[in-house]
Amino acid sequence: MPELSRRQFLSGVTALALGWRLPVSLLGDTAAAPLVLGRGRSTLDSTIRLGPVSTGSFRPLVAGPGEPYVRRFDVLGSVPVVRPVPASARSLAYLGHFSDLHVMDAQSPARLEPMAAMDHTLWAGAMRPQDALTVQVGAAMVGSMSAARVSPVTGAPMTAAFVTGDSADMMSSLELRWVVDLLDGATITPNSGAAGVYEGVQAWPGLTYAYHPDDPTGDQFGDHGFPAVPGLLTAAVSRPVLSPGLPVPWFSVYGNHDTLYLGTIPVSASLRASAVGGTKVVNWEHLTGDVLGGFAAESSPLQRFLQTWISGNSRGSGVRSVTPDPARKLLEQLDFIRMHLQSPAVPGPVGHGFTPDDLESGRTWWSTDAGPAVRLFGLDTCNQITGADGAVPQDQYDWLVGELERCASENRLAVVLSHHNSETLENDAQPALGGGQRLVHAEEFVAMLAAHPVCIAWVNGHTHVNTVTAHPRRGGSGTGAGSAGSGGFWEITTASCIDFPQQQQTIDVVDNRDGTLSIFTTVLDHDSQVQPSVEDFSPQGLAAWSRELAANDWAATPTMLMGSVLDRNTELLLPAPFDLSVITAADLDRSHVAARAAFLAYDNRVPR
Amino acid sequence: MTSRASLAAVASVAGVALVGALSGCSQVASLVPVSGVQEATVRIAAIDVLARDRVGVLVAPVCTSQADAISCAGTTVAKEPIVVTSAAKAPYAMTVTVAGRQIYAGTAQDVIDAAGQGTP
Repeated sequence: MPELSRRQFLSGVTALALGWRLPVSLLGDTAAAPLVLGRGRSTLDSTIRLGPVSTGSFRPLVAGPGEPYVRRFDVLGSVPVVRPVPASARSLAYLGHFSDLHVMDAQSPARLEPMAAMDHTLWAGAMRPQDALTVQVGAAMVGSMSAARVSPVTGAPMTAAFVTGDSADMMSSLELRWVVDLLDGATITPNSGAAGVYEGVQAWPGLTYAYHPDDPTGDQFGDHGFPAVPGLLTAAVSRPVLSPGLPVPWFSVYGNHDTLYLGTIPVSASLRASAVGGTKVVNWEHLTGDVLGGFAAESSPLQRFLQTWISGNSRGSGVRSVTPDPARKLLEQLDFIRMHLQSPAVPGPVGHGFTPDDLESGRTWWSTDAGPAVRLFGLDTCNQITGADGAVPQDQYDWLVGELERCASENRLAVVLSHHNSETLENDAQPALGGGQRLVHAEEFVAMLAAHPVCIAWVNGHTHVNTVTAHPRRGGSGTGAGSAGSGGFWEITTASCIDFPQQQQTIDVVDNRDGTLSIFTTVLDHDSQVQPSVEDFSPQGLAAWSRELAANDWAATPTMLMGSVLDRNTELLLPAPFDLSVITAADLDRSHVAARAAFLAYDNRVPR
Repeated sequence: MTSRASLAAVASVAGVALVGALSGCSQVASLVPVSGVQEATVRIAAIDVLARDRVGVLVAPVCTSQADAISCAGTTVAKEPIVVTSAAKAPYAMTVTVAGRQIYAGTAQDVIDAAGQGTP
């Protein structure tokens, strides 16, 4: 297996140095030196758990022991005799996975927090106690991912990262701008409306459904034991947040929150007006009366609910004035692509998977190579008609089948990315006037992927639960629930940045040089302290508050979202679909040197 | 029935219908944190039980729902069956057996709560 010759190495370094505007000698020395392992806040080293109750039912967080990798054999179908990872193993691609950032403008008058007044458990997504802190969490997670740029398994450099949807929470232009800036690297003041002032339900007294950090006495969170954290909201909207950005190119796919309002319904004209307006309904009784009054007026219950809620914005009790802000403009469908095109070349790529042509064609899916061995396929599984769940439209399905066949002929491993997972791919909503295409659901989609041995992983989010699911190929020994496979693929679903445990992950695809592959998943916490302090309102301090508040939001069943020990730090074995020696050491070396050049440029740049 | 009474009745029915529709539709599910999947809860708890008892797993339990019950099947590295049965409602009364030997009887929620807690 040929390695990179000295001449090839030097010419490669020279070209990269010119491209990145780096001194050739500096890049040469750096590329030749061993990579320094930095794990970020890896759960291999330590974990974060709920400690004993402090007040009421509130449990502060505590540090727990690290979790080693757990090997899984479901797809391989047998337990290898010789383990662990052989010394000759090599990384084919080391990748970063974000999902469900749910970056939020918590002061938007278009939010629906009063729904939590009816039943916080039922409507928990409408109002979370940590809503105002999503940018701080995003920056802390980007910091952790950046620090984890070197694989803890193989020492390989990360070559790409991707976001599997639900980047912005409410289809707000402002929210999506913050997402792109967080991942590119920038300073963000996560505020809208009046400068330096939080205007929203968490600051207004008497709204018992909301958590009031300044004084939670009498609200349901205070009753639960949530602490007083005076000044938290003001700090959240007034202190700039510096995101370090990612040191690698990153890619993005649509989520249902990037497609539909609240991830569920189409955006109406009146809703668009409300988002940029200056009034906000704050009480459930007001909403209920309006809803009942206009019950027969619109097409769906939630649509009726929203329409009447919006019409109530201009009159009656239960309405508050807020500072209007045109930056809160709601997105059109292709604005998601447009915003990703408004992005610098570094870390790139501009468009993050999308191209200017996509704005003309309406195409919302893409593919890209992540090094010489792995090809990524970013799907749009979102339904533009209605509903939180998704499906694979026939045109994307057909395209992917062709692409997987091409991967087989070109000896590429395929990793499929989407927002929805195999538990949430059953949405059948079609346009009322016809013209929709067939929607492919989980069983058929999984069978198709499993029928293509080059597909080694399907990576996604949506459910906010760390989950690793085996999909053994049908027809072999693995034909039913609980049976082992002799091939197939792994489905990897990450937790979110909004709900506890606020974790993301890295993925290392490893050639074991024995006819098998291992996919290592490593869960990352965000880069902030385990225990928050009322004296620390730095961005990291606020991110720490977010995690602790989320961990105590009973409506979110926070400990379940951690997943099981087989869903977090794992080694996922499967048979190699072709002779992996065709992927040469020289090819991998070139990819790694390019990644080292990107790291060096990253370390030397000044964030915007 | 007077027209006023009729209107009141209609309003009442409409209110009940609305709440029912809101509660049952998938749109509601998107606002609730997407965490309450019963099969996932039982699966996670069952795996945590297996890990606690150091059961080597060849195939992790795969769970399906039938009416008011959830059942899961898996295999140990010794090719012995893992069988999980559970109620489909919280707190998910659950049993876990390995090769016919019951290793857990209790609720899935208790297992998950314990797994999420550390010591200061």
